[in-house]
Amino acid sequence: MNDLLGLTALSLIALSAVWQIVYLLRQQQVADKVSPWLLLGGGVLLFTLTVLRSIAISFPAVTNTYEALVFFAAALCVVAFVLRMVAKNPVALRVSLFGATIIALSVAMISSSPLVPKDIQPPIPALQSIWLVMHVTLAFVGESFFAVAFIAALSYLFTKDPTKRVAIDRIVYTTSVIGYPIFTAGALVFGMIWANFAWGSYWSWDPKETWALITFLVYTAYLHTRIIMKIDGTVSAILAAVGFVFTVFTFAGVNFLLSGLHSYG
Amino acid sequence: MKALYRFFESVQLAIVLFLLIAVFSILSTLVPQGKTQEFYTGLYGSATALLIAGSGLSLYNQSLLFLIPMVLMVLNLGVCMFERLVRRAREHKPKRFGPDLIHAALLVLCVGSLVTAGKRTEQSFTMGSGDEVALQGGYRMSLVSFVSAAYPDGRPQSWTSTVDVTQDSKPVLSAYPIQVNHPLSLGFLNVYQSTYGTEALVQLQGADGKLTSAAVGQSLTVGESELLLAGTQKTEEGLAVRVEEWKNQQKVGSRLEKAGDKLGPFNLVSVSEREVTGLNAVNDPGSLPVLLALLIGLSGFVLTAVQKKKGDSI
Repeated sequence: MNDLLGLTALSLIALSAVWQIVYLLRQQQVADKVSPWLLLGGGVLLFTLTVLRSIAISFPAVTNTYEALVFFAAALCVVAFVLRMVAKNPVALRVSLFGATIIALSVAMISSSPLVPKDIQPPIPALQSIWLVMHVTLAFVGESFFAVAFIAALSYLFTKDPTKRVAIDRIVYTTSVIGYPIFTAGALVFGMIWANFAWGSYWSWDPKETWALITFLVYTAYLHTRIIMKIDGTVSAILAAVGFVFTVFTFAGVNFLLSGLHSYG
Repeated sequence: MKALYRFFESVQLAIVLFLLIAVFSILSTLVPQGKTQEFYTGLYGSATALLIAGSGLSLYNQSLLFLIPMVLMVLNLGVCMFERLVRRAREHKPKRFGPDLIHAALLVLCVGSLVTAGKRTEQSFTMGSGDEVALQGGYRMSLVSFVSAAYPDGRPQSWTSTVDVTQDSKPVLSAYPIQVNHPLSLGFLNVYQSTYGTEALVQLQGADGKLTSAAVGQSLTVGESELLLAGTQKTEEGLAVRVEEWKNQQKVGSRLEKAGDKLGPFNLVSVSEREVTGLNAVNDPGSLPVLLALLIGLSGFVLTAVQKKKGDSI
């Protein structure tokens, strides 16, 4: 059941990506109306997978690498869909949404890899906390917005047309400004509250904590350059792009390269 | 003075500090923290080890590398906040307080962290059923029971230390279950479930007939030898203690001793094992301002989202 759901979700996201490629290659100045729904379908199926696992373990299923990857891919699909639906200029958004689709597809594919254990296991005592659930889910929702901002920032850096740059800069800014408080609340605030309940300390300078702080600082620098100094140019785009690279490192790189309190498999 | 004020008011300074702290923090995650000079020399060579120790990267959060940018950031935040409030008072534009709350939260967070750094105390201990321990504030805590449960696959499911608490001989709490993520709170004093295990106890009788207890890990001095109670082992005749004999810091022998055997001048009366819980009592007056800062910060984010300018859309 879970395998079938995962495979169907993966197929829908892949189909959405192919559909978007066709539109991008045609270079039509119209937004396609099918791919967002395919993407939403993939996201909803991945969320269903999370719900089924949650029922099986009687706890929100976001406590191991596989479950985190599934949740992240699902959140990214839904965030991309919502952005597409509310966008006043969906044509300017399409490269960013295509990038987000590819990232969601990659994350879903990594989660389906045999290298990622998929055992349905209830959480160990340290992970049995509602604060952990809020910490993980909000961090990934925030990171989903950062993923869209990342692709937009890259396309900004490779675009010469000033009119297009203004539209793309608006995407980088809006997605970052939405993702930033959600990420901060999840990764830092709720993470700190959970750590205090579990270990009696809000902050332990664990590598994952430190990298979450680093990510926060980079996006804080981005927002200050963009909002206060009104630098809507290359520096801001580079900061937004670097921020997402650090986000990925915080999630994946720290687990493999640095050891600490967050080693739960 | 005015130039100094302008310096601390600057957004450029804030951005430089964000990035500086980010870069130093990255470096700190690449260097194992709190190790000895020998450790770094072995890992990186003497020149790099000297650089690490000299720069403070070996204990980043207590080094000038971290503290100087943090002090500058606090000054920067304080001056910026003051400026924002003054400007707000002069202008008659719609008020947007969200960012002010976020800045205020960071200042309160710094105050809380300073209080924690100066006043936080920790007391780690293990207890078996019936044991009592004295805590700060005149509290005494006794362990009623400790239960560890496991899932069918053997992974831990829960650890519960049930305790009674008294203060000045008056009952405060009865049968309170301390679990991971469910600490015992007594004002600023919190007791956390941190570990569990078994503890071996050896009962000895001296030549004068007096009974004494020793735990595994302890040593007994017998003449020129040290007898280390190294561990326990189940034998056909019951639980035995593994005794290592050390002379001049060299192990000269190891043997198993059971109840009834002689251990130097002592008679070994019994060897027993019991399940113990590991608890950690933390007294942190800084935790309240930190929690307050987190709540103010969250309120700031919510207020910013609510008061967001129209037109901030894609």
